[in-house]
Amino acid sequence: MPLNIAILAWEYPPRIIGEMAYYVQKLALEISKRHHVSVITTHDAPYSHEKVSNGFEIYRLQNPVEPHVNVVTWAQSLCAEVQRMVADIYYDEPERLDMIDTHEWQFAAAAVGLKKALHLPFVLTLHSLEDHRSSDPSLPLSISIRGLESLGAYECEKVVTSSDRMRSEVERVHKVPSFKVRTVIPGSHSWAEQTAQVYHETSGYRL
Amino acid sequence: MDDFGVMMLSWEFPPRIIGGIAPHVYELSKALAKMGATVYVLTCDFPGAPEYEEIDGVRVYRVDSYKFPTPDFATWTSMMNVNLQIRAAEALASAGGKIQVIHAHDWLVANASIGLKHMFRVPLIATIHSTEHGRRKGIHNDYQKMISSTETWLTREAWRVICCSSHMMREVTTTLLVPNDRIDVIPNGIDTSPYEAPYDKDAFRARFALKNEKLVLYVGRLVQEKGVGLLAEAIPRVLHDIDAKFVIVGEGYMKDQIVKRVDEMGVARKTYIPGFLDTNTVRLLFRTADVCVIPSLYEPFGIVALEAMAARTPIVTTGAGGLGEILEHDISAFIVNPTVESIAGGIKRVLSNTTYANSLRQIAYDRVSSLYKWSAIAESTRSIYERTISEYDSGTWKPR
Repeated sequence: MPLNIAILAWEYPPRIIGEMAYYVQKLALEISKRHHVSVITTHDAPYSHEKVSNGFEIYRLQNPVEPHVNVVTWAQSLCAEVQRMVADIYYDEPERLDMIDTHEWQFAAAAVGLKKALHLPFVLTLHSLEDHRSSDPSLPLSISIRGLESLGAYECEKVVTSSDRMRSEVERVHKVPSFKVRTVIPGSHSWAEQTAQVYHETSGYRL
Repeated sequence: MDDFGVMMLSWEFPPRIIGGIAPHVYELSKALAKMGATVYVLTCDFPGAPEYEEIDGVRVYRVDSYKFPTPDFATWTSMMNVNLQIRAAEALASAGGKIQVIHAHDWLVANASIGLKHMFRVPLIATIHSTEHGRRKGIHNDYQKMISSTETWLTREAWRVICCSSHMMREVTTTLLVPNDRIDVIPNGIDTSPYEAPYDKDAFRARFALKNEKLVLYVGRLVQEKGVGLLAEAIPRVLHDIDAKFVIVGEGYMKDQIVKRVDEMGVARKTYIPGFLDTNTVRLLFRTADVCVIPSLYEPFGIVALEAMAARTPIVTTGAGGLGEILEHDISAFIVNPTVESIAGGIKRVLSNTTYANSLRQIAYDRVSSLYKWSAIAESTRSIYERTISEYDSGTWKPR
């Protein structure tokens, strides 16, 4: 049965910061062959809505607050805007949404709010961890980011990681029980199918 | 509309009291609940205060306010809002449509409130108690710009904006660019009953002043914008003609400076700077004082004026900002220029003419006990909710 998935990603082409932008684009293209995908991302684009195909739409949001003092304040005001966008899709046509896949910590809090308010279950896809990225994980900013990662990992139905090493790190750092974590190796021939499988399991949690 | 519900979001609520928002939300919520409204308050936790309690019909939820270190106050606010929104969303989801309005107090709860508004499609009302532009006398760096931008965002997302004075309304229209017709002015209120309880005035007075000394009172933060420095300079000029004791209550970065200055001027013996005092002592001080001086240079509203009026203390003030809307010269207060000479002159005028002082007391008290009662404030607030709900009901944003 086709699912309706909102993918929340803080980078997406043409806004490319790291590899995640391409990862999400490829994933969305593959998944949208059988399911309906709405990518919610941010970009200072001249247009906010792009319909790639019948099953694939992109919404690019601008941060409602400018400037920012760090990446946490930046992400958190954007989270409210992400919630607005997902809610607008939901109220337009509630059957257009079954679940959310949120990538990294940036929009995790948005997904948690949407779960509490609209009963949308979510997957947290973790490409990396703050403890690995940060030069000093004991810095207050890193502690805040790790807190948002932990919140997402606690509230989500499934965590998706790209390797078994990441999987064991997620279990160790965020104390996630191993039954909640799935490793899906990007680029493998069954990448999209495996991800879709996780989505199917997750959407079953919709209340 | 007898049956309506509102959820207030505020970063402070008693016993967590940081500034004027806590008492405002506390009294407004209680007055609304007394009218029969369902009132939820979502706020930050406080040591010893329960996570959930009902206060005179108000349902208070205290949320983990994020205790880990953060780089700065704004980042803490972001993290606190995450926790606040989660708890609020749970409460709203289980309230099953009973809550028709979300009421946010200041930018500190913007992230949480705006997300809730959209996820539940419930209209948002925002009270702007003060603006970053006003607090900082302009916007000077990216940090302040971010806060000001958050205020703009909150007022843009709000169905209606409430300001406590016309002065604040002008600040909101000029610095946040909110059109006039989306703003309502509702003043702060005050409960006058705590100022009525019997007490031993002579014994209490003896703790602060000698029998022959008039008692001159200042209550407020000891910061530049409150004009307390001008009052300190005025002390010798008053003492030249009238024997008095100046009691300067409050804390702030100017405290040491003022202590040093009164010593330099040789009036330390005539000045008492006790720092922060408990609410009850402050109320009794208002009732005991012969004059209350409010020398503010910037004042969005001026709750201190309502407190003095409720305690029947004659007021000498600069009338800055909202103060000039509450008080009228020669009728309910003696209004002076923000200069040392003028403030000293005003104090002397009130202290030297008892008939005049008594007339100021009586008129000020009559006004505060009719216009600034919380029941009247809550009634005005409810009419804004009702207007909002009826516009919402007839609009297209309401889910089908």
